[in-house]
Amino acid sequence: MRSTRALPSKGKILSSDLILEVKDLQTVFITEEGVVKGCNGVSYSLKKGETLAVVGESGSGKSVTAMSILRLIPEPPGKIVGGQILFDGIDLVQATEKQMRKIRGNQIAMIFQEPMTSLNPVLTVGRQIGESLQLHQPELGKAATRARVIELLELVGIPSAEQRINEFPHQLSGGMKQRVMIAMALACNPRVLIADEPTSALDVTIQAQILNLIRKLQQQLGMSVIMITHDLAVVAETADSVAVMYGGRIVEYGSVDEIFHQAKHPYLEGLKRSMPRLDVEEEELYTIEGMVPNPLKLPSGCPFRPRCPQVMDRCCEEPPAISFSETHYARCWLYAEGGTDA
Amino acid sequence: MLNYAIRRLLLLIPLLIFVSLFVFAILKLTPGDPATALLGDQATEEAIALARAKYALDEPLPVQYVHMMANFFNGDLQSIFHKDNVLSVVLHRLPATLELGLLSLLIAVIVSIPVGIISAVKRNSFFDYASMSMAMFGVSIPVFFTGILLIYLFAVILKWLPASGYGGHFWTIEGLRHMILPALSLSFVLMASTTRLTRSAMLEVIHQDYIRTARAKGVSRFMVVMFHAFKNALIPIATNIGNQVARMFAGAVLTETVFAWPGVGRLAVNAIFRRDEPLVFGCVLLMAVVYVVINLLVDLLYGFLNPQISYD
Repeated sequence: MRSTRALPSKGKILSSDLILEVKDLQTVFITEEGVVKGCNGVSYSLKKGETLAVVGESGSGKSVTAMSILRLIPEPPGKIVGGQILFDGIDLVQATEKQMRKIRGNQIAMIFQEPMTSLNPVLTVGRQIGESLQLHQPELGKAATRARVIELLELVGIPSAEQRINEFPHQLSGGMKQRVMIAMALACNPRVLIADEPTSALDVTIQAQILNLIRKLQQQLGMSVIMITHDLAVVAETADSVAVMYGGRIVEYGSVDEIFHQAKHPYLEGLKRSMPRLDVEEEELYTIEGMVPNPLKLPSGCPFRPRCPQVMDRCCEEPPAISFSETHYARCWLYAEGGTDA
Repeated sequence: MLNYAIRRLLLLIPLLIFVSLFVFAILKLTPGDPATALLGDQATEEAIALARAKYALDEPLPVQYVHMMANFFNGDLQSIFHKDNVLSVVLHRLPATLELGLLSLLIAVIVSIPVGIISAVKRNSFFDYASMSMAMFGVSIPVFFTGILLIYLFAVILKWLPASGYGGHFWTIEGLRHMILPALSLSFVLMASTTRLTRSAMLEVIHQDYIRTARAKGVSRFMVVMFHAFKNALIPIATNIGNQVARMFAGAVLTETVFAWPGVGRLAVNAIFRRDEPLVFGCVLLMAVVYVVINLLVDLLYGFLNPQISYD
């Protein structure tokens, strides 16, 4: 299944339309202490209109994968050393910088975790949103660009957009800034929106607003979304499919139902158990024992091995991907032929 | 903004009182006497007494100070050596100093900002190491020594440019030829510090989140550096230039002496040697005013550079 060049018009969602496909992506960081495998053979695919959640702790490689898609990994020390990222018939790993510039912000847009620091403090909000338009739709002209910026600000729910357009980021609240970031990302009607922890830095009440906004706009505009998060609640609320990452690779992949109701990998089990629940009385919140592994000294075989409550001898070897359905697989020896070893 | 400017200018009054008291104290604490300096060692006691009376040097110190201040602000303060009004003597020399300062500033900015940006973008490259070594050299070497080296190279060995003196305004060819060497030697310190600061400011800005945002929008690397990053880096750079301009005035005293430049710096030095107290007093006070005004201009410039600053 490869993405096809001619995609159906927006609004018509066909489940078979693959828009983005990441295949065996390998991104490394060369540091003085050694080579860090930020993303070690990650594969996922995104259909038109779909929301894929990428879940994992910090350092699991979820942001590295996303930044690799836009080829925004700082180079050096980072480098994509293998794999393919297929978008619209081209492999983004091989694409020239010029091709990438036309894709960034235009076809694939991104919103970041820190709205506080992700806006340029010396440029007005209008100028920053308008910049995308000027770059990718230079034929628009000044007045039309301005009108479109106001329209975008209204779209993301910013009141009195006419005035806000001339304000600087420091005059806006955190939630407003994230709305501006979203407006900026949506400026050119991108086909894919990568949201890298868009709500982690915001108040809980604002979080829900922003998630609802993203979902509403996704439906309105027919975008596909890659939602990067460490928050399972966000996943439950937004995702169609889920990729669970640990130690630079995907340990479990499935539909949102499968992930929440038929979790296989012990890491995902632990992650789910560490979510606070109101319906069960617990003395203490469950935590996964141990620490996120040092990316420089990843253990052989399954990276979760040192923390896994069900660890076996076989876990020193590379675990196979075991399929449970067409959409669901986990990378764990527990489900391999022979099951738990003697 | 206007209110702010007026408030800042009003602050000049206490500042000038403080500076004048300080200068006056130093003048009076220096051993020697203007009358003896004027008349020489062979002068009779009577002649010296007469001269002391003429310049009110026999009055008590507080009276002398008040006299000097009153005369300065009335424009009646007379230079002992030049037998002329201090204000007109200083103002006559001021353009040469300002021209020299302006040209040095121009040279420093034109060279240091691009070099600093390239050093930051191409960090740890040969260019970076070379320019940072040069900058280290520029910061460490005294102004008068650079001046002497420049004269030796360009005037003595190569004979391309005149060794000293003033040749007219810098927009005339002869004027520019005379001004290049002193301006170059004066610009070294500012050039060096601005290069280093531009580099570090750019390096800091380049790693900010909003730079990544701009890249994610599809802005080219060049435009990200020149527009998004530089506009932010300009805030610390402008601060540094503002502060350094003051140091340039101090440097001008040395440069003007080395290059026999007829500016306020050399006027002040000669006035000190001749114990021309009123003239020293006038020179220093005027320099203080110029310094405050330049700093005010830089502060007002911030308002344009940094939208987070407002002067209301």
